[in-house]
Amino acid sequence: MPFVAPTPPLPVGPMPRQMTSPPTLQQPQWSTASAQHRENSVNLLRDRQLLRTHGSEPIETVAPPPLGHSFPAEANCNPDVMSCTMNAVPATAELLRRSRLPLGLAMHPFKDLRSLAIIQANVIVRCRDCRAYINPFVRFSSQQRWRCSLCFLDNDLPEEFLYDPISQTYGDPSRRPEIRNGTVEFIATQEYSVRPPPPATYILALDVSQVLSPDPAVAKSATAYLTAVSQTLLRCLDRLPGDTRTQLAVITFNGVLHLYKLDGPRPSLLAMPDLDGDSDLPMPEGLLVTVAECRDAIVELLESLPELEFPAVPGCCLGSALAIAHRLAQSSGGRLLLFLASRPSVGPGALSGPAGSDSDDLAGQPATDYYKRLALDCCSAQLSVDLFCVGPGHTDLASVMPIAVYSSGRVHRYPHLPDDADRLASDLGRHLTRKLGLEAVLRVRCSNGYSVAAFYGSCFVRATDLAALPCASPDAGFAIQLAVGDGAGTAGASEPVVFQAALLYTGRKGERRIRVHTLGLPVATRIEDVFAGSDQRAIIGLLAQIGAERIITGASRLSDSRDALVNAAADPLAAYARATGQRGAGGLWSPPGIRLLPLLILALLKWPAFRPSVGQLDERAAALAEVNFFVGAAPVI
Amino acid sequence: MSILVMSLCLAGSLALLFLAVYLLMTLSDLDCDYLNVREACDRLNKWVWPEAAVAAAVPILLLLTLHWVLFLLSAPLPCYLIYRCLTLPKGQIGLFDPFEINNRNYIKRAMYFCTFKLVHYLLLFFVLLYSIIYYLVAGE
Repeated sequence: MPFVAPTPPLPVGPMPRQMTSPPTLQQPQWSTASAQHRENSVNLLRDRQLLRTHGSEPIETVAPPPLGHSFPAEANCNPDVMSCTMNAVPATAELLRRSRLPLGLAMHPFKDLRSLAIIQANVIVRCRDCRAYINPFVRFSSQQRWRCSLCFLDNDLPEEFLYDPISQTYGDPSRRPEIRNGTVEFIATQEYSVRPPPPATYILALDVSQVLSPDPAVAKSATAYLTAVSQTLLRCLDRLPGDTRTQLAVITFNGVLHLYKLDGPRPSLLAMPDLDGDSDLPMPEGLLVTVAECRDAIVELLESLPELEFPAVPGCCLGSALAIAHRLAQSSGGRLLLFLASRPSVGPGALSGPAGSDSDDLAGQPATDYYKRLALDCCSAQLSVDLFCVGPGHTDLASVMPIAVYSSGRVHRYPHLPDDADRLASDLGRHLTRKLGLEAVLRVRCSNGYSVAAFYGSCFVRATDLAALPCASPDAGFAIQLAVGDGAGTAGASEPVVFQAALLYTGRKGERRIRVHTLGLPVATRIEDVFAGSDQRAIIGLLAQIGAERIITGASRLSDSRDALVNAAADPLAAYARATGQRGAGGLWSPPGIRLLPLLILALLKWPAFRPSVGQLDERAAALAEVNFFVGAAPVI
Repeated sequence: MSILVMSLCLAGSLALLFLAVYLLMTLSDLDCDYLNVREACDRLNKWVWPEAAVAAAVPILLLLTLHWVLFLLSAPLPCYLIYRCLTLPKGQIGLFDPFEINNRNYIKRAMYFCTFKLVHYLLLFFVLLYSIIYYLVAGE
């Protein structure tokens, strides 16, 4: 039986927007009679060809429907940047519960975009009550007043808003780029900065405990990783994002800490005798230096790093290295690139005790809260930690991982090193040259009646709808679970539900910017419309991040997570059968929007993060961190 | 003798009552953003074990002096408090984790539990008070 593709939405031509036109919401394509709806359903027991065979992606991206003539054609942000699990948002909590589908947003707020409208204005226009930014879904009641699309309050419009910089015309506020685009970036004014922009700071912490190992294969892999790191850094040294004040520090550690004084003509090594994290720095300056001034010493150090003679003290003092790095970066924040080759065994944060077995239900959970507390300190200092696990053996990644996961960093793992050296070099190059979003905060605002229930992703959730990211990454994805409250849908079926995500960050040149993404969706009052608008890509992203987060924090065991994922696929299908009266119709009927959900859940259960037993504990930990970091953006089959 | 023990329990339940009010105020400050997450969690975590210890001491004292009814009334809550402390995942920073507290309505649920504890300690306080008065009157 040929697969019936869902009908694409009708194209809306550009029409002049009148200020006084009554609000009309074009009815979405799926608000059809039940019989026609049943025609679009897919029988999962009989149809085997569910993936698209044409086009570049096996799963189509479901764009939200155009909302009618009163809104511009590009009112919604790109679906790859922010998308909702349902393209017709349920009007009541009861409707959401009946559908058994999760309601949430999957977003990728700092993604590299090909074109972006950047606005520099004296006054950034925001609602005076809910503080939402002006967006394409607002209504202008006159030349001087606008009505917020989230809280429906009337606000004043400043004079300069009537001038459109692009077409150099005056008089029509709906021509401004903030009203025409779903994604805009504002150059922030003075009141958005807490302190003057700090210099971009990069700290490299390298674990050299395996270099002097008696096993030649292990020593070779350690030298290979040092070579890859130093060559990549040499290559990217001039392309590090930041202005002329960019700073760099290098720390290496095995059983003791080695610091490098870089402000002379030649670098010199200082071994710290004391492993206690509270001791003073051996010298106040010279460790964290400006790249532009001390370039020669830095280049010489990096070139000699793979052959350097480190003091032969066995062990790995990760906790002390992190404490020193935190002390160095305390006033400026920045990024710490941490390379871990063996299990931390001496000093604060040492992990002792036998490694757990992989088929244990508690695998993937940390054994100590030391690194989570350190992550809290790093977030306060605006320091983001990226963890590269380069050891061939067991490094207890599950316990060390929180330092990266909670400070908006990413975890990588390279178990087979001389072969993986190219992958390490390219990942590190991406990390060093990607765009920078320091001291970032991400806030999500929703229309009246809808609220943020939970925030998932690699961040510090400072309030229910506010996440703090010491350094925002263009590859990071977040999933937000939404709740429907009492005030939802009171504005009527003609008003769209608007979700707005605003990311405030400090860019590479030290300027403060705000990237705003807005998404407007129609309201669904019938269960058929809820099912017709469901988007499996966003749903699987949300479910994967929820599952990974429950395991990492220890809130549920692996087997419970697996059961919950299976139920998440089975419940909507049962609810659909109940809602459309197709029980016992001799097949497993599914709305076209979630026809691939069982297949995607099955694929997710085979991912190392959720598999019942994986070869090494570290592999599961790295997979969980990866799911937590960016699957909110796009699922990987 | 039993009057002395019951006065101690009375003092204990009064202290727990004040503690419950303090915890409730801290949680509501956190909810309204008057406190930052780190400071609020430090304050809340500091009182978890002392509260469980004092709440467990009350039924133990009552058991030792053979007041069965009062023991049964005051025993379930400390059992649950101690169970909660012992089954924490090792990777979590105390019962109130700054990274988890703002997710999934944790604050609201903690506030409901605090209110329940408040009512429970208040009830216990009045029951103990009347028991003391009864023993004083009956002893004469």
